[in-house]
Amino acid sequence: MTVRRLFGLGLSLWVLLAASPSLAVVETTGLTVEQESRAAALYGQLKCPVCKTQALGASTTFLAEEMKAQIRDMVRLGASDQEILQHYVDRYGEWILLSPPVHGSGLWAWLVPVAAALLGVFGAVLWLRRRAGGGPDDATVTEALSGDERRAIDALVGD
Amino acid sequence: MYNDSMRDVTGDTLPDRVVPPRRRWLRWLPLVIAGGFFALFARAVMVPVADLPDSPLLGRSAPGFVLAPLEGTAPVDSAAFFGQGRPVVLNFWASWCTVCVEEAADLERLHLEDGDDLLVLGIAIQDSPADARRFARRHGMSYPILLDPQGRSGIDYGMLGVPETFLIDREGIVRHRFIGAVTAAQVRDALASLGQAVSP
Repeated sequence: MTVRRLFGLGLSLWVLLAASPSLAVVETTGLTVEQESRAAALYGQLKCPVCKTQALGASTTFLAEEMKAQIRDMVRLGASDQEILQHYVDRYGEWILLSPPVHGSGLWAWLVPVAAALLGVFGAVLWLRRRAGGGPDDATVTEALSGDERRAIDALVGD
Repeated sequence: MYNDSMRDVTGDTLPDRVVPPRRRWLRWLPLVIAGGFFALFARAVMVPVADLPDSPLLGRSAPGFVLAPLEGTAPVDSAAFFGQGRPVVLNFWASWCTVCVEEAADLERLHLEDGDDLLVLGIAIQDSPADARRFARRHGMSYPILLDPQGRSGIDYGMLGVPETFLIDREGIVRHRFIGAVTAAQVRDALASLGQAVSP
């Protein structure tokens, strides 16, 4: 009985230890590793308000650093990703999101790469087909010509 | 009766491909299309400062804050002056901001000349009290100044950088945002256009 209890205690301790990386708290920020990576992912979805064309995570300006600290606070308090992003959209507008909006002029940013890729594939297929059908060596051409064709050409050339 | 296409078929020596002159422009078509795509994409992704949409706060209640004053000890609650019958000129600045020097005199003039009709309120963003005090003295700023060492009040206003000024009307609604140094004339014009002009 006691042996089984000890075994059970050992097992639960082992499970706890094995799971500990996700429970570990990053000392400087007070966030778990999982929360920290969520915050970092959010830095990548927002723009730095000072530089405007750079991701928040790539910026070290005073406002960007404070926004990152604020995001960590909100993550710690249990806000969802959507709530956090909306918090900044409400204050700055939609342009603060790094991904362009899927409407208005932002739609082009989503459609253009797809259209370019499709056009590229279409062009490549066209080019490959033309190359395969249009550029065989002389021998095959001569062989492929029927007697009538050969005669017609000879007649024209000899003209 | 002897043309290029026939020579090609019969195997006479010819350059690999002969492109008729009228089709030569087609060679540049892929480049033109790619350039067009690139321009469209860039337009969709980039937000030039001049094209920044207006602050989403315009027309909404001014975000509140509770901050320590530069002079004094008791924290100041913005509820004490938003929507209390006087427009508020809320100016975000910092002692380390060089452009803020340009507007200091104009803000002080607004405070001295129109102080009965409006409230000029400064928030020193990410500043030390000592630096902020030195700057305020050097530029003769006598209007109330609050301290926000973290700068979160600025983020709540969607601030892009310092200086930035918000005009909040008598009802406590955000009406105007000035990016960069502001002048007394700009503030007065904006107030006049709201129908809340200061008495001459």
